[in-house]
This record gives sequence, C-alpha cells and structure tokens, in this order.
Amino acid sequence: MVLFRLFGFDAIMVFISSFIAFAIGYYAGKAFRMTSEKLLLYLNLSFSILGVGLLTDGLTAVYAYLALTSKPHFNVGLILVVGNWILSIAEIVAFSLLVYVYVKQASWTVGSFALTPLIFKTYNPLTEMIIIFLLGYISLQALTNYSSRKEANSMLVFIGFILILLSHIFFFLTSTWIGSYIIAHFLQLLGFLSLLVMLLRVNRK
Amino acid sequence: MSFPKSSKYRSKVRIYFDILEVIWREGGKARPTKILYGANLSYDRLQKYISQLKEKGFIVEFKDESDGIVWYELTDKAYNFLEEFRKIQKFMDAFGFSI
Repeated sequence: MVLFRLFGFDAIMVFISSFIAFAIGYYAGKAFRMTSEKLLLYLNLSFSILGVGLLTDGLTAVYAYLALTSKPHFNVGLILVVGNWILSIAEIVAFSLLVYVYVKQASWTVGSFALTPLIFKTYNPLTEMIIIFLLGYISLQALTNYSSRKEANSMLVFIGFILILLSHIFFFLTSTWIGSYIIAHFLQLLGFLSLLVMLLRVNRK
Repeated sequence: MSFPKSSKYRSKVRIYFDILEVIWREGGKARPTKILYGANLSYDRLQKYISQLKEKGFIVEFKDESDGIVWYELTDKAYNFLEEFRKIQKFMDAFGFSI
C-alpha cells in the first residue's frame, strides 16, 4: 500500500518539474521573439518538449493511480509503459537539442517491471543510457561554462543538469533497488528547482 | 569606453543593444562619434542602424542649438529593451551561450 501511494508522489514531483521546464521554455520563447536568436528557439523547443514529456508522464501516473483506486486489479502496465516511452523520447529529443546547441557553440571553448509489476514504471536501460550520455555531455559543458564565468547563475545551471543526470542514474538503478526510485524523483525535482532559481534570479529587477 | 568583447559575428539585435548601451552609458544621450567608437561600427553601418533605431522608436535625434551638433537620446522603449536584453543575456550566460 505504501508503494501504491507512490503514484501520487510520482505525479506531484513530475508535475512540478514539468511546470519548471515549461517556465524555462516559455522564457526562452519570449526571448527568441524579442531577439530572433536561434539558440533561444532551440532552448524553447528543448524545454517545452521536456515539459510535455514530464506532463504526459505525470498524467499517466495520475491515471494509473485513479484506475487502481477504482479497480484494484486493473492492469495499468501498458499505460505506464506508454507514458514512460513518451517521456524517454521527449528527454532524448530535448537533451539532443541542447547537445546540438552546445556543439554549435563549441567554438568559444525492464528490470523494474519484474520487481513490482503494478507499481513502478519501466525504465528502458537503452533509453536511460542515451539520456545519461546526453546529460553527461550537457553537464560537462555547463561545468566548463561555470569554470570560466564563476557566477551564480552558471553554477545553478550546472547544479540543475548534474542533479537531473544523477536522477537518471538512480532511475536506471530502480531495477536493482526500489529506494533509488524515490531518490531519483527528489534529485530530478531539485535539478529543476535549481534551474527555476536561475530563471527567477535572471528576471529579478 | 568599452568595445564589444569579441570580433565574431554580431546579430542585428546585438548591434542595436551595443548602440543603445553606449548611449545609456553616456547618460541617456550621446553624439554620433561616441556611438561610432563605443559600438565599434563603421560610419556607414552606424548610419544604417541609427536610422533603423529611430524608425523603431528606440532613439530620438535632436540638435544642440549652441553648436549645431546632432545628439541621440534614448526613449522609454529603449530603456525597456535594454533591461529585457540584459536579462536575456544573463539567461544565455547561465547556460554558457552567447547572444
């Protein structure tokens, strides 16, 4: 039953992260409309896609929670798999876009399903590996930027991406240790909160 | 006096910002020569951008009656643009991107 409640926990964490991703995407889009700078368009697309993926993931978690509440033996496996695939694809596309932007700017410098079939979502090892690789590259670029600038906003972006990277490593480990699922969600949320703090700092008077 | 940090390609909006920032640093109004050196532009390009900035309502031109020298003064729209652009610049800097 404790595990059953994780659907609510999962959905809340993911919805907050989704909101932050949309906020960053919205700001990048607003900045693009003002400057016509393509990099901002890529940032807008990247974080909007990430937001859609997270929102879909949260909605499937809510659906699964409601379905299991009304029909205890309802099989939500397929819904969760679809939701997770949408999130994985969205993350791969979003982080690939970010990697593309960093590369463009380079000149300046299954197991979980077996564990708890109805409670946890599947984390495809292949997609998680791709996401971890992409996030590793993005984090490295963010670290390089912070090393050269030594300013708080760059540090917040670096912390944000490194926490999201760590969260995916913990999602990857969900198949071997259930606790990593909760840690992963906290790390992901903290990562997005770090990006939100950066956005608020940038927009303060 | 400060020049843009790098000699790489500057977008049109970046040049607008550089020109407006030079005027802002001068206290909100500046003479063409100050802008020319401050924004690191050739005379022809400066004329082109000045006329675009006037059309867009970012600057107004006026003549000093005593010596006949032309000055350019920032409008409220320009102050808002500078504020927003600086925020965008901070946002881009945080990710390690330049605008």
